[in-house]
Amino acid sequence: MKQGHKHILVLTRGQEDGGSRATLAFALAVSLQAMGSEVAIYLNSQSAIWAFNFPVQRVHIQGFDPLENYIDLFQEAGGELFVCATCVDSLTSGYKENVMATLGPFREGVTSAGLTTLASLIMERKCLSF
Amino acid sequence: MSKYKEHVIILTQGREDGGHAAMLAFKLAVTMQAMQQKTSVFLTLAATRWGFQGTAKDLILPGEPSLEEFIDSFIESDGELLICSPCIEAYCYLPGLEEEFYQEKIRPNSRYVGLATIAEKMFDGEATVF
Repeated sequence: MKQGHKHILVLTRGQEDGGSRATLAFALAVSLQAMGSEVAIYLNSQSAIWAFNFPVQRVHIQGFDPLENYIDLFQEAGGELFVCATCVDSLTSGYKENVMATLGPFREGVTSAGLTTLASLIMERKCLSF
Repeated sequence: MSKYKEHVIILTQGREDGGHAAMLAFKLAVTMQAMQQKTSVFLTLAATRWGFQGTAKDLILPGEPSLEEFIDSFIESDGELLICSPCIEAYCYLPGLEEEFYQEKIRPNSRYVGLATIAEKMFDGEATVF
């Protein structure tokens, strides 16, 4: 175990690549946690979609576990999951009154945060952007 | 010299962008090797295909050598290619290819790895995602 390391993964891709980048980012985050790193993930731009239950449940990239498994493991291991607050507003405004039917509920344990939070995380951790 | 022991370039793009991301990633990798910075390239998702000989011969941008030549230069300068093992079947399947292809055509100084290897390298090094 290599203790004392901290990472922040910034994810920007949403459903446009079928969830490949999201799967890779969360799978890598779980590996980093297993090695003793304290990991946070910030969902930015299109990746704000992964703060909602339904889109997550639809992703299963061949060769990997379903995205939801990785996110569950990540959160169970204490991983902090932040989502860009304005990105969520922008995303949900596109769905109007159908938000709940299309995206489902907001995932438990996801914190809405602004760029100040992201900036703080970047300053104190190793950062990797997907 | 960088303060980091090693740099890992994580390449996720295959031919879907015309090979531009791959070209940029390998040019950066060759440059970093020339600057005495130990560099590995992790080929994952659609980029897994670049781990095999001959797959990049036809990718030539105006005024540039082919991507195949950049990959060869990287390997000749002792750069290490890491190929995502879970991605092989999902992203490298080409009609008519036999199982032996993946063993016979793998490039020199390359090996199959999982995400744990990349996570390990990220502790002592720095990573960039393309």
